[in-house]
Amino acid sequence: MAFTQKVLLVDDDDIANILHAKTLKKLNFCDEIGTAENGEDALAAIKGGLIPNILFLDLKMPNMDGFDFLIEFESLPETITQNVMVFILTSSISKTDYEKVKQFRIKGYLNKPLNQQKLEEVKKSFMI
Amino acid sequence: MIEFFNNLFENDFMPHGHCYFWEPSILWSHAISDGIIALAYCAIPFSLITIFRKHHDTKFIWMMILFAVFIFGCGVTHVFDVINIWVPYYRADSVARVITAIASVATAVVLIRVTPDIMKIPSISEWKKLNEEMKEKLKQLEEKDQIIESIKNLEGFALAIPQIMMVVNKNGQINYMNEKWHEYSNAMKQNDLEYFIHEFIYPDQQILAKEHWQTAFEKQEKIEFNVQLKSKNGAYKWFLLRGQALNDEIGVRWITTLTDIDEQIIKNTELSNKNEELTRLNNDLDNFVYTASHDLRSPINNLEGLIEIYEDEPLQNEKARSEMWYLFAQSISRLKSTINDIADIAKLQRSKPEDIGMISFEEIYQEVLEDLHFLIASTNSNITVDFQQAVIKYSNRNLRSILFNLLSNAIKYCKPNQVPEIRVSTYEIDNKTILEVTDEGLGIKREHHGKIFEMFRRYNNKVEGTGLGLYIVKRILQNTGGVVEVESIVNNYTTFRIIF
Repeated sequence: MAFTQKVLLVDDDDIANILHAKTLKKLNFCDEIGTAENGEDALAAIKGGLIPNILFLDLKMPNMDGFDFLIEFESLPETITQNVMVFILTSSISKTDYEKVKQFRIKGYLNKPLNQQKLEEVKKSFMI
Repeated sequence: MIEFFNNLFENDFMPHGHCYFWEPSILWSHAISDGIIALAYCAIPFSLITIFRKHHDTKFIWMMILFAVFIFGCGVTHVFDVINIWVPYYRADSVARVITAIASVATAVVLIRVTPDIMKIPSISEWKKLNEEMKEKLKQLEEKDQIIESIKNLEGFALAIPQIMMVVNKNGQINYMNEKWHEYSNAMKQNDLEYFIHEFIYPDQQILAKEHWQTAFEKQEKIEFNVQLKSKNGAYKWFLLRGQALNDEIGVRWITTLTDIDEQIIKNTELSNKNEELTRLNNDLDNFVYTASHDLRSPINNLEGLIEIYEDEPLQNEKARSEMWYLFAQSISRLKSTINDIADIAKLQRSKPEDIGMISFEEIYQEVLEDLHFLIASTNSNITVDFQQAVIKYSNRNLRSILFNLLSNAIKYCKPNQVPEIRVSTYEIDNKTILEVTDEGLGIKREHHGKIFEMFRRYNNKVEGTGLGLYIVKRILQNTGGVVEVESIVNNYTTFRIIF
């Protein structure tokens, strides 16, 4: 049985999305995987009823970046937001980004690429 | 005659005592009184000689000598009067009398002649009064000299200091201006502060200057502000106006100096501009390091991930394999173009003045067309050009970079399934050369207009790019004092306008 049901990958880098999806599938992390190219698309998907259990969010994206997405996301009704666990998944190693994103209600902060070890961390964060 | 002189002291006459019948009362009264008179007469010339010795007044010298002789002669005749009582030297007596007579006449004549001069000699009280008046005048003159010296010293200072000086009273009148004012403005000395402000202070600062003075007048306190003053060639220069309020028996007034601080202000402005530029460069650099590392890391991460997959599960069929190769190629090409752009930015920081020369837009355009040959051919792009302004003095490499980035953007951001229609033109407005590149493509949302020039900013991920092109264009123009503008309507058109 998979760890969770629905996962949404939000990243403008389509290769990263493909790779992350493959990793998720291989490790049987979830049943369903959705992808969005940027914050705007992700927000539209969520508003359209696709509510993921876990959302992996890149920070640097065209149109609406991760920060802008989080602002919009947190203004959504709590009935939606409390069901979505947001994990930052970025190539950024900037401390400023890390501090900035800590102000939001996020579950965890990960660096790309996603692998087995990092997914174990994700799982652990739910057990505490 | 000789006989007369021989007999001068012969006493062949009768002594004068016979005339008194040797009556002792008559005889002795005559003898004693004549003796006393003689002594008195003979003393007078000595006084005269003493006076004459002290006051060498040549004007009265003859009168004095004659007077002395006359008086002395008188004394001598009285001596003879006494002697003749007993011994009759009448002849010698006669000689003395004749001489005295002559001296008396001469004295009288000279005295009459010098009388008007003697009248002019003031009395002692008059002398005293005059003397005091003279002393008073002398004191005043000395004081006046000191005042004049102070004034001259102050004038010297006013001339020696590099500042313009003026004295303003509380009615807004200018009572004094030093020579430096004329040297600076070539204008006459001003009397009216309001007129001065109106004529010589930079128009935008006049109201503020008036307010400053108004406050100073009301509060009777010092005044200090910076202001631009018109010089003789019409240019305005920065001055520090500083006025010290002085309140004394003359009234309230402001001793004011205007110090030239133009160079200082210009240098400060340059410095703060440089500072801003440095801060900006520093931010850019931070941003650059951060984003470059991010943009380099992403494709490398992808390559790593792809290799992992490849190792884990051997690809079963041709389709999966070609898909894999495509992803590899895509990652590598992104890595390559990021590195190329970083190299471009590094070049941009090292633009040299010798690169600048007269270059032709047409030539640069042809070079860019060659570079973009593949992109243009694959999209069937239709480009029209109109170079009204044929040449420009610019760096060859920079102009090429600008045109390359604008043109490749115009082609890349076209509407899907449509032939890109692009117009490139140059013209001149207000002595400035303008380059315009217009496409009929996707357009840019208004809220993104400011952000598109930032480093690694991309607003469409359907299109290949690293997000550095417009940043490079903007940096080139910033470095050369130009401007880049954007005008766009979504799904209609985009115009990039370069004002060199």
